[in-house]
Amino acid sequence: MILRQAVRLLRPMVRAVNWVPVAPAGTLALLAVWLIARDDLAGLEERIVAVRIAAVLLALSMAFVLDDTTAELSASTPSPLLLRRSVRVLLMLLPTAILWIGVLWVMVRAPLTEPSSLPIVALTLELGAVVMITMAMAAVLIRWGSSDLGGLPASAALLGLTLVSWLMPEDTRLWVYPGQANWTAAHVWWGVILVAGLVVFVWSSLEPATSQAATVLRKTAPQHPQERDRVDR
Amino acid sequence: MATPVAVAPDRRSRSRAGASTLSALARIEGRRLLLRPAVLIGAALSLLAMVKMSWTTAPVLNRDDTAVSGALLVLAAATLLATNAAALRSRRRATDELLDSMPTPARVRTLADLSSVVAVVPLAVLVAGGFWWWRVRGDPVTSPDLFELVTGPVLVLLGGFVGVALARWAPSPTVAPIAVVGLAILEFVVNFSTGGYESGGRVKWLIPLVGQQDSPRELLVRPTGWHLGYLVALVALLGCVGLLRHQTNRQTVTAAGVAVAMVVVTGGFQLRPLNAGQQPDELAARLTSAAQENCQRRGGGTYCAVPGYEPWIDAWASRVEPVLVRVPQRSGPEQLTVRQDISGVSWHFIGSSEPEAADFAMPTTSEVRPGLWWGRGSGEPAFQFGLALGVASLTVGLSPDGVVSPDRQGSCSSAGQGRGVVALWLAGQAGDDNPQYLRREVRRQVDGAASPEVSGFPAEIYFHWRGAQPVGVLHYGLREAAAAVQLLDQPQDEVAALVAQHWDILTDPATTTDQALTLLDLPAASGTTSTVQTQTTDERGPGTTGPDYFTPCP
Repeated sequence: MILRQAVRLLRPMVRAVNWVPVAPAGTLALLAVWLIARDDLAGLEERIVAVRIAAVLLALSMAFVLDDTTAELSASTPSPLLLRRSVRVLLMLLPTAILWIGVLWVMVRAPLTEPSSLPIVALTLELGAVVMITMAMAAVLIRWGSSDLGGLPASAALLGLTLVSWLMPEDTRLWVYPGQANWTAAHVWWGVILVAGLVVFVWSSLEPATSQAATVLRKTAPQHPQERDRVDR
Repeated sequence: MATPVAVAPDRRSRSRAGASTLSALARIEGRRLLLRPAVLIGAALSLLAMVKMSWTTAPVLNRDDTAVSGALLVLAAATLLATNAAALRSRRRATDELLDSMPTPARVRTLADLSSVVAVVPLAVLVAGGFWWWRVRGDPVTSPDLFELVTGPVLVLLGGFVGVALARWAPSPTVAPIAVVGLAILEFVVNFSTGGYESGGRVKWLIPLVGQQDSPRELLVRPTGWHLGYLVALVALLGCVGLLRHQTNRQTVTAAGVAVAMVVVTGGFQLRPLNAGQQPDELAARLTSAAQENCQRRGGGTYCAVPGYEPWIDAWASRVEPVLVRVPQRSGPEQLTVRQDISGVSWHFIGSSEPEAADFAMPTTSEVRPGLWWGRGSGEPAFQFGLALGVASLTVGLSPDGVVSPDRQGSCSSAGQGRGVVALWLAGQAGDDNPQYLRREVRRQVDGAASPEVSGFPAEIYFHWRGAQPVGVLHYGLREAAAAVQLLDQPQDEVAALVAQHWDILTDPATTTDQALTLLDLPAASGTTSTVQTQTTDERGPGTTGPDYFTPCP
């Protein structure tokens, strides 16, 4: 049932999703990694920094995926909010994944002078966490903010969070490099952020009216005559 | 009865009404801009970035000025996002058509958006002023560049104007965040590859901010005045670009033409190549000779500082004197010279992209060379210890530059030599923070040390060397450091008496660590742990040829 609804939502969602940011963000991401990859002086750390910048850019382009100018109209449709948002996110994940593969490919094909390789899995986990936290922020801002457009504040918050995480003391920073003592611990935290982001996204995407409306309806709905009689007696 | 006649307002009164509307709109937009969370958080993050970047370094005002501008880029980015959102408000709320029906034209609204950015400038000045107040109270050296000081707030203005121009020409909320990251990438790539170096040419000065990248300001030719003019011209140009989206008038076109001319002229002046006298090596040579003539006597040493850095002489002397008082009179250096140096290394590499072009300054066997950096707070002990260790090494006959022979660049190792223990103890006991620093470093590095059974070489201890800038590297054994820590745990006067009594033997290069430990009443196994073992060169055998830096110091 849900799957059938999701498939039916695909076509209208393709038209509704804001694809505009993908092209500039993807181009910038690829340009950034290409510039660093062709620099002979850039070592593994600089390359990882470039890949992380690309990850933030791709997350930025996804920040606007929940922006829905017709939210009030589509709220009355039978498909639940969580499903509509999930379809949007999954649709946008497709070009994001392709661009991410491109970013990694550009970086991997440029040989490194030092005997080390790019930690692809760990960096992909970081991308997942950054994307998920962005989705969660956008969902929270739309639900509790004053507008149905959460993309702009979510992207600003993402940039702010990135800067704050970079300014944190070195031993608590999550942007670590291979060989550092807290590499594994940091990536456990990235995993935690990914899951926490997912939970917040799902929680913020549950129909806001469901629980309140049910309570109100229970209280105000006309009672069945038999039941009313029972109460009177 | 007279019939009322509609009188069209004349040009002057129309213009007065427009100015008053503009002023009212700009005031409202400016107030709203100042209260936007992005701007307030951006200001806080800018301040945090300034403090974070300089928390462990002593105030050097001719570097701090650039750091302030760099940190204000965060506020500039926040202002870009905020002004963009403000300029797109009517589009977001679908009130563009409603506003078009109002007497105030769109051009005035854009002008008001541009004028509102001025409200953030006092905030930028406040943030920078707070940072400067903190830095100036910490016994600063050198003087800031006034143009650099103004650059930060102008960058904030530039950010705001970019936001408005983007809103007018690319009216989508998705553009501004991506533009921020794009500008950040531009800054990152240009500054990473050429910031603080002259090798990349002068084209880098066309980006908003060029950092110093840990290069001393004294060796860089920064066209700060022209760059400030260039940024102001860019601000004017972006303002005109925003206004040109609406019906153009002669004033806007003329202003845009003037702005373009200013951008070309100021940008062109920034790009002028360096002349012979501005080459980094030339500047370094000039500074070195200036430092040689700018000397002061303190206790048992002569201290020579690069002009502007004289306030540090007392800090150096307070770390050097405790070392010298423990050295027997007859054995101390005749005349210790602590001479500030740009770094031991020739600065060809700043001007060249080929690292091999760097040749080295003459190594020293008679002086200690503190660099152009000093620490503060938790960063100070590393500098204090580094300087004290340079002096201590000199007193026991080791060149602070790790010189192997007078005609050969060094790196030699004192691992396995008894005088290494003496030098490390002398440095460790000099000052309140040094014992704790040495203990911490030994504890930290023992765990990560490579086993000598595996590497074939004695485990070494590495220090932050910035307190004394060596040409080469003098290596110390981890075992000797651990023994020095044990000496620090004993009554210092007793240790000093033993050191003075056996000074000649202890500082003899032929005296091994084991022999020194016996003389210092430490058990022979002192300093050894499972990883801190040592092998002398003889034990390694004649067939073992290690890297050059493990050559025993002569």
